[in-house]
Amino acid sequence: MRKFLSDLNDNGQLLIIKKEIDPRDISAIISHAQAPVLMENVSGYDNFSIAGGFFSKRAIIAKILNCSDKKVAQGFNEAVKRMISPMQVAKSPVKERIMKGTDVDLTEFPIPLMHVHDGGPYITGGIVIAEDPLGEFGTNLGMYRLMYRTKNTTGIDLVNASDLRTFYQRALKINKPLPISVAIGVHPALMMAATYKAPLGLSEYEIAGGIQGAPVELTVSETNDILVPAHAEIILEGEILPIGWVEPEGPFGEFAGYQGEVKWNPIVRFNCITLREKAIYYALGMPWENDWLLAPSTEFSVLRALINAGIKVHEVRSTTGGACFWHVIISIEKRAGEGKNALLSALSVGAIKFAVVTDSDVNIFDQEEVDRALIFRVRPEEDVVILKGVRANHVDPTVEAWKLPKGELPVTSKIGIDATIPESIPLQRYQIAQPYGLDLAHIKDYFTSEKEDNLR
Amino acid sequence: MTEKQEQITTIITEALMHKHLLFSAIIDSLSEFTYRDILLSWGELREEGLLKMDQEGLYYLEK
Repeated sequence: MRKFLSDLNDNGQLLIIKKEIDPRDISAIISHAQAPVLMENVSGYDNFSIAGGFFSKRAIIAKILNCSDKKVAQGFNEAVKRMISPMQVAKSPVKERIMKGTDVDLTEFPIPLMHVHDGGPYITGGIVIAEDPLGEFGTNLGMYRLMYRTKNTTGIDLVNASDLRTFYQRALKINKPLPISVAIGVHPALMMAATYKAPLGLSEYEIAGGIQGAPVELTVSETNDILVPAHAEIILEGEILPIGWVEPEGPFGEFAGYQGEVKWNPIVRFNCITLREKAIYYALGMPWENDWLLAPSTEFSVLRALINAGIKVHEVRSTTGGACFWHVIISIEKRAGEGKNALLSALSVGAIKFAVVTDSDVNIFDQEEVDRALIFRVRPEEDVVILKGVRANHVDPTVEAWKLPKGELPVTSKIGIDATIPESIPLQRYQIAQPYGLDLAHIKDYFTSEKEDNLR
Repeated sequence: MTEKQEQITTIITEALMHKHLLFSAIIDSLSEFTYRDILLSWGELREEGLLKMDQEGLYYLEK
């Protein structure tokens, strides 16, 4: 993460706050900044700085993936193609300080209160690393929120379908806690890889290696066998207790942008913290930063589904209104009938609730063009697809997750709109009307230079 | 527990005996104390098993 911060600073993209800030203001500062920010002087926490806002713009994500803004899905796809195995190293800066047993104290670093109605301070940028307790699926990485409870315990949100939830359920079956390590303050490539719902057995470490073009360096945790990023700022080691979904967790300002309800979740007990001297705590700004963080994996998942269906994809865009998770707009080089094929493929991706498919002549990054396609290329009785009884996410208020029994998963329905030009309609009907003489006559030719300035 | 933390615990206990409160309201009412001391005191109350949460996410203490 330090190299990334340094690069941002060199490019004039990092706000550095040297003035002392109150830890109560961390969430507000990240929200106001809407840009990568580093707070170097946090009152009462001499050994820590706070970073946030890395994922504030699509352009930053594209830069990390070394691709154009409009080809984030393709950029992530290239990274997955060139996966690089991680490398274990003997010495790691994250072992500069070690707290074990009764010395473990999560209040050593400033875990911020993110939203007015949250149930407590939250670790929002932690990557939870766990191994399949039955040894079948290897290691999994994912980002899960952790709610501060006591100096050595947190809540963890496991209400949705995930690999970590699967591992936890397998541990519950053998009545054992699930050991985990949590990495805070890592390179954004690893955060991006961790948000991708990779098929079980596929290594997020290898994907992160593919994104950054070099192996992720790993070291073994102090109190379990889990390999963790050697250059993380902070590692928490502990276990998810085998109690099931019994403790209130939340409310939390969910990444959909709405305040969530109280949920029932397990508890994590930490028995070791390792960290750097002068560590940088990463506070992921919620919900807007989480949106952009999810964009690459969402768009890539849709791209892969369409490629597998034999569709020629032009561009994929997840929208921030859909938290870069539920809603995608796709443009394709359509052959007859493929508007619907593309829709069904996109809707097969777990999270996608609303998909729009249009033609490659539509700039899907211009909402006005998308709206025009939705109005003038769609025949509602033929071009709207609805699927019922499919997997949903607790965060979506329409699934009424609060009515579910503790630990149960919700279902929902999905909608797809085929906004490609219907096969029976001639393409000439979609020729954009051009004002006559546009390239020859210029308004500046009809004004004095002073007025010309005003026209600019 | 330090003297400051004991003071915080007393203030929170008094408040939650009479009202259901958001966590942010508790933080706001303790502006003269350090953030870390508040979290440590909060953790102590948790460990004692006294804190309860209602359906709206407000904390209270069982009388």
